[in-house]
Amino acid sequence: MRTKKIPRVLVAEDDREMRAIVAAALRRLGYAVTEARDGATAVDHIGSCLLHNTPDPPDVIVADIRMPALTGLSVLASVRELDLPVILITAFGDDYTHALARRLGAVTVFDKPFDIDMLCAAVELACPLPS
Amino acid sequence: MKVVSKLTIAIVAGVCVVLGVNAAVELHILRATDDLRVTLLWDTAITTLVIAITVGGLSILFGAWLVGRPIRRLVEHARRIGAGELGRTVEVGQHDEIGVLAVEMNQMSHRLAQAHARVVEETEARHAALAQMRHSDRLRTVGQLAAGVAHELGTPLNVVAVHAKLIRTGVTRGDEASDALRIIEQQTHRMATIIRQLLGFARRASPAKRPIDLREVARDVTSLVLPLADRAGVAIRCDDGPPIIVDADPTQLQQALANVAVDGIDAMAGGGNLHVGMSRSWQTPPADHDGPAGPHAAIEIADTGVGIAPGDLERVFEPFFTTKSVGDGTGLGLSVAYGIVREHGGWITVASELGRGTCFTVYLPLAPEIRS
Repeated sequence: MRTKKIPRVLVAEDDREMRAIVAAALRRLGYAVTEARDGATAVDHIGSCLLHNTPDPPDVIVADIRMPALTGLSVLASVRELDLPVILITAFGDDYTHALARRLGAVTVFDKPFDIDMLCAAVELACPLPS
Repeated sequence: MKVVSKLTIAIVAGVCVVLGVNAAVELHILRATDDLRVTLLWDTAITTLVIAITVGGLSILFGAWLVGRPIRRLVEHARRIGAGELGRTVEVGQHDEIGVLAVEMNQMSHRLAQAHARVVEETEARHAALAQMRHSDRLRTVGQLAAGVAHELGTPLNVVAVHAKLIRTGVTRGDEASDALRIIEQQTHRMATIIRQLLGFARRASPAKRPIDLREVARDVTSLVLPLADRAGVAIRCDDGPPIIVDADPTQLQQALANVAVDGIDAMAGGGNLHVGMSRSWQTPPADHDGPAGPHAAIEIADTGVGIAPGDLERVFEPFFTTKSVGDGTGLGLSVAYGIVREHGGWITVASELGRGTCFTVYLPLAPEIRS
């Protein structure tokens, strides 16, 4: 019998503590998590998954907007063609950022400080865990 | 009637009177005896002289009244225009050349008044536009500060909130909980540091200036950042030369230069050279600067680091603008340096080449007594 694949979340966040708590919360729920310390690392990871056809590419992306190298919005724009759900988190929760994120196809945008349970709920909605 | 015609008539009339009196007297002489002739001749000569002097004097007085009076009024009018009393008119009550001159002067005064009003209006409009620009500039800075504060405090707040919730709900227990509490403590320290820096940025005391030698400040700064440079494998070279005296608050100037130097060292994670040079030159301040052109001191702080992207170059002095990772820098260092230098009547320029390095130059006016 073929086992159901555990969905994988790519968490891109430059703040180590923030990245750790998001990753830990998702792991507790049962997701597999890949961590990236900035936007460029996240895009590199996705590219390398596509190139080498690795068995566990990310199913959902959770990315901070303000990151060095590449912002969360750039990550979002880079994966637009891949039909990957992207959830963004930001401290710059202004209307312009929200509108831009929506136009680029983000599932939702969370303003910091946000409730971690709400973020987990959004990930579950975008990519449900196998029952 | 023209002035010249009036004067000619007055003189001709005077001459006619003299000649008429003279002719009558000569007729009388022809009829008289020899003895009387001599006497009469003398009388005639004296009378003619007296009449000539009287008529001449009267002609001069009439001419002076006719020409001098309106000319004096015109001179007085010209003086008033010169003193800035524009738009006034003068009436000479004549229709000759002087009258024409008065009309022309009145028109000139009127046109000058109009031009002056236009200049005043334009200057006021320019001042209003400048004030508006300064206001929008302040608003932009406040917006950047707000966004920076939101970002810098939002993340640690979030970390604290999540850990607290995990402990409260019992998800994190035992050793994990104690780790979480340690992280909460660290994050509150981080937030406190940000707030302290922000307050330092907002409540900077006005500089206590005194004449100081820039070389001493540069030496203090290099010894201050030396441990940091050593850790990063950066060699510091500080030029020595003749004294360069500026009016400055040594502590504030040291802070400004140290912030620039630290930024340079941070740009050389793999080691490099930091060069601090000083010189004197005649400088014209940039357009957004109120100071006059004059002799200035220049302190160059050049690194051989990664350089700054052209798009980021004009933003390096903005509060909270940083290309460093979260936690490594708040993005206030260079804007604090910029503020301090501005309060000292100076300015900072930056030149950079990606992969080659960056050079910040701080310009400060030389202390007045040293300028000569």
